[in-house]
Amino acid sequence: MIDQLNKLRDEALAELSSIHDLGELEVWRVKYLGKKGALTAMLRQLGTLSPEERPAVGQAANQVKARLESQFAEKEAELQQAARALAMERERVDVTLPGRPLALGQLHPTTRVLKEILDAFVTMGFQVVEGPEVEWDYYNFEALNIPKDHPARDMWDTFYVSMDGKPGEMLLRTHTSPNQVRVMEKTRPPVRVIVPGKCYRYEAIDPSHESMFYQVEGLAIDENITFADMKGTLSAFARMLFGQDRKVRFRCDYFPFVEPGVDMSIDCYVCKGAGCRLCGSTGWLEIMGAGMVHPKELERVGYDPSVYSGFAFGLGPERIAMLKSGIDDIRLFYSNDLRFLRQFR
Amino acid sequence: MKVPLSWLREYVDLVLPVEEIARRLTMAGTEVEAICYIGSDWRNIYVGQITKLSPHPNADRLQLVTVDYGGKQITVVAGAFNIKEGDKVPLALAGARVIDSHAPEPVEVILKPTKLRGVLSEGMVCSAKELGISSDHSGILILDPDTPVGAELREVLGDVVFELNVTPNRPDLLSMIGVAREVAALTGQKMRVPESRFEEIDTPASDFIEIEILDPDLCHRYSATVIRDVKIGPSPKWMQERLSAAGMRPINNIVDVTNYVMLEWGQPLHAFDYDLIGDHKIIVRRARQGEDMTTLDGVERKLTSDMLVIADAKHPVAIAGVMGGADSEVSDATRNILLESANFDRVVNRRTSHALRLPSEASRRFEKGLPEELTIPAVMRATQLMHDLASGSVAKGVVDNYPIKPVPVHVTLTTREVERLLGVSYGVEQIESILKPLGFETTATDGALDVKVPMHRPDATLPADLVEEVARMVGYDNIPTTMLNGRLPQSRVNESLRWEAIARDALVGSGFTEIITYSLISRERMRKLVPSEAEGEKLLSLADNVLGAINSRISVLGVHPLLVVNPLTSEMECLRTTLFVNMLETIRNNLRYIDKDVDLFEIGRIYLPRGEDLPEERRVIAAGMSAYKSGGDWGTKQEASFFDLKAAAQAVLERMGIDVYSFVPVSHPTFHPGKTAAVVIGVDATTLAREGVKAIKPEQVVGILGEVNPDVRANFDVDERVHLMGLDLDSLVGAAVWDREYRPLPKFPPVEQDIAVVVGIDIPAELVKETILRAGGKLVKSVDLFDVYQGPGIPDGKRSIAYHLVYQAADRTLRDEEVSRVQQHIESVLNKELQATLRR
Repeated sequence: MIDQLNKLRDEALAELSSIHDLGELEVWRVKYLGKKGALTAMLRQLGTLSPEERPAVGQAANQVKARLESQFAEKEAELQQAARALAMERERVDVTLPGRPLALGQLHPTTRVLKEILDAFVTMGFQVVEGPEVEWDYYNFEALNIPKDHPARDMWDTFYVSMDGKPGEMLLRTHTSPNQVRVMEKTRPPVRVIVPGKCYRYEAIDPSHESMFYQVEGLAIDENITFADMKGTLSAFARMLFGQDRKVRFRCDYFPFVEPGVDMSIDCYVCKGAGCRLCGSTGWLEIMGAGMVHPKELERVGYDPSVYSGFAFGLGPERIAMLKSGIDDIRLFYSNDLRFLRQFR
Repeated sequence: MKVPLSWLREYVDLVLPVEEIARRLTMAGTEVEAICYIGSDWRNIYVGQITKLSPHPNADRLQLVTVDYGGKQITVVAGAFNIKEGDKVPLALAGARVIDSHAPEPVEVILKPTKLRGVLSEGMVCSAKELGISSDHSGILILDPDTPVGAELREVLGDVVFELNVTPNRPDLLSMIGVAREVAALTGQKMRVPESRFEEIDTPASDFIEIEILDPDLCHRYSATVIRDVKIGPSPKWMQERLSAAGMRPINNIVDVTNYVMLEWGQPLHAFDYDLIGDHKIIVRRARQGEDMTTLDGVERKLTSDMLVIADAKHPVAIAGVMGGADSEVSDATRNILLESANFDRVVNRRTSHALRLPSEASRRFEKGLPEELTIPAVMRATQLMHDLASGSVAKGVVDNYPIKPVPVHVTLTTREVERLLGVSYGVEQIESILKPLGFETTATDGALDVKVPMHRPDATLPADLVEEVARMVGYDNIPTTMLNGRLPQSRVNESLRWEAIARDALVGSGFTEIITYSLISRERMRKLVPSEAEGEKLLSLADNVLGAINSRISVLGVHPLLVVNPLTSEMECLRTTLFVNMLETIRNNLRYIDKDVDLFEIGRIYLPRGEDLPEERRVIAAGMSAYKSGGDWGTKQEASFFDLKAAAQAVLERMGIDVYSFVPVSHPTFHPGKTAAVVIGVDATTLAREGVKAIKPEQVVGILGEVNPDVRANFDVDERVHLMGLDLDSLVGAAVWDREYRPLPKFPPVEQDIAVVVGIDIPAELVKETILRAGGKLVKSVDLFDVYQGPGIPDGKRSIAYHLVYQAADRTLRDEEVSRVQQHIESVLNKELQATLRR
């Protein structure tokens, strides 16, 4: 009987090894391990054996049963695995097909670059405030040491707003600098603010001039704020935006509301300072105007200029975005062509 | 300001490469915008002398010119007749690069031997334009008689010209001497000032002229002299060349001298024909209202009493510092010159040149404020040149009427102040050595300097001004770089910008693309938002109802906007009071290229006039949605509806923490009457149902959204359905809540039930939902609509609305009986309050 068991085992295992799908496997299971299967039938015969034979044969039978069951489980796992693999293979997709259309919104490129600029200054302790776009001549010019008929007024071509009885008093701000005065009128040092906003200039529009654009004004006032601090702050900003290895250049420039006045440039990243079309062959790209706040401006808002000092700066986000993205026409910003805007997702 | 370096060298040695000089000027505040290398590309161009002129055999308008250029002879064809035998002229030979003077835009051509009407020309004699020196093409450029024949032209006429961008605070740099002083200080050189020596006749100038200043507040000094018996003619070539190189056109020896000295010293001068000045008397006075005179350009000018004129006994003969009069102009017949060197008030000068639209080289200088001291050296220098170049005999002395003498400015500068502002300390001697070359006189007294400001630097009046001088001479790049390390202001979050960013995020997340549009617009464009005038007027008459609120804060139509006095175009004549115009126009523009998903938003200001005050600048959100959205599959599209835009509005409200809001049907002329809602916060549908729109306070109205009225769309040439939304961001910010209240997660299982009710079509769905929630009490956790149906099986005038309800208790597993009891109660309340029946 032991021989019969072994024979059955060998047959069963040989058959099992040739099975390739779960259906055949089930047939096999029924055939050998099922209630009416061959092994079960043999096990039933155990009772007919003599008590002497029974232990040895019983043990052999159990071994065969265990062996067949474990081989079955192994085979079953193997075939299930193969079936899953096959099913997944059938589900294979072309991963290069485009993503399903999803309504993707996005920010305007000016908003993007403004965020970048403001974040940079916020990390340096500046607070963001805003001011009116329609301004008094006083804040836009006079409080900034630009009285009426001052030749420096030619630096800002101005849209005036009509107002009965007071011609030339209300205007569209030409820069965000009025907020230097507005902020200082309302607070006491220390002051560290950054002011973004729209500005307007009565200007013929061409690839590098717009009649409406944004500006970001900055102001830091306290005791002992120096020109060296201004250089440090603005250099740190330039490197945050344009890369840590940027060279920064400060040159003397004139704005009536600062003294000393500064023009800040970074080295041209296209030609690395050698001179190219982007930088007008100077090797430098102007980034912003700045300077130490003029003592007369401080005096006017009630800050003692012999105690307090500080710096102010102004920069154009569109110019920064143009430099960073290689945009060659400022008019693209506010004509809102989606073919342009969607390049700034 | 164009500065030919050949001219500048007269006052200062240029010991560094020109690029380095340009760099130092730029770094120190005077940007060299361009360096023009005149003649650097001249090859095969020589100084030739004309030996023979003969007619062209085949053309009257051409002639043959034989030119000697250092022993060699060549004959060329020329079309100009301003030359004579013996003249020295630029001769370009084959291979030379010259500018084609006949092309509309300047183009460089390489010269080749060419047959002109049958005669071979192997070269050409050139005009200034053909050489690229100036735009003068009136004839061949005739060189100075002293020019060596045969020399390369580059050697004798080549030059480097700096184009300086002179800032308004430095009128001293509108002169060669001023630039030389700056260059000398920047390069460690000494400068040379030309001395003016000439012979005078015995008769003093005061015997020839009388000067009276009636308005000394406007004319601080008037210096004049008389040069007699001048011979008017062209000025010498060297002077003409310098004037041309500096960008001025040579006229005659007298006018050229005044211009030359203006460029040299920065002091504008004027030469009158002495014999045409009535009574030989100069009166400086305000013009009389209505007085007129003809200026040098032949234009008759109406003068006003706030202008300053130079008059003779009877009439104005010049507008002070702006332009001379035609009547007293120096002409070929002039024999005697009255030379004016005066100082005029800068404000009046600027106002006058602006009012008359007469910008001139003179007013460009006067308007910036010139030092009174400058009149004398300038008049002396010009007198000398007129004496030398026009053979004039000079009256003795100068008539110098100088009513108001300025007090010299002294500034005290301490080393402490320099350090306080710059963050780096410099010693007294170092500071002195920086200031002196610029013309400042310094006296040191322990740690402080008494600085006397020179007359050419009226811009320096404060210690800070001198600190800038120190900094720019040291070089900004040589000042250390430190980080701010002081106190920080009290921290404050900018609430409105924070919420603005959140609203922006909500819209971007809803699939909208941000646009930023012009704030300037026209009344005509805004009128397109209202189909008819009558409806526009109606809007204005609405005081405090829902529509009135919308028209006062969100899209404000029918008011008089703020007008721009000097608009660039009539399309941009006023400040917008609505964002909808730009939104519709931008959608239209984009629909030309893109057929779906033109879903845009803008967060911008509208400008509402407040009489004498600055306008109210309200921040408004506008969003617009085109007719089609991308479908679920590639390349497909589906129609966008009111509810897509409503979802965006809800996204904004919910991201801003505003939970209680309603959408109330309104009729607004910009919108489709059946598909428009006002957005109301703080009022729920139940209250609305109970109390009607009376329940809405104007300040609770925060927006409007709907489909655009087809007539309005047509006004904007939009061919497809568009939905628009406007939200009052300022009001939303006022209501926004950042902190959220946490509700514990449920521990016991929910029971889900659906309910479908048939109600009258005029019952708002939101009211049905609120009724369910109220009737269901605290066991009802959520009520979500999943179906709306109208049609067969439902009576006319009714619709079926189906909701998915979730019941859940915080403390136990709900039993079915409990749920069905609540559901029955809901049904009976719906039936009682809304006459709703169950749909089985």
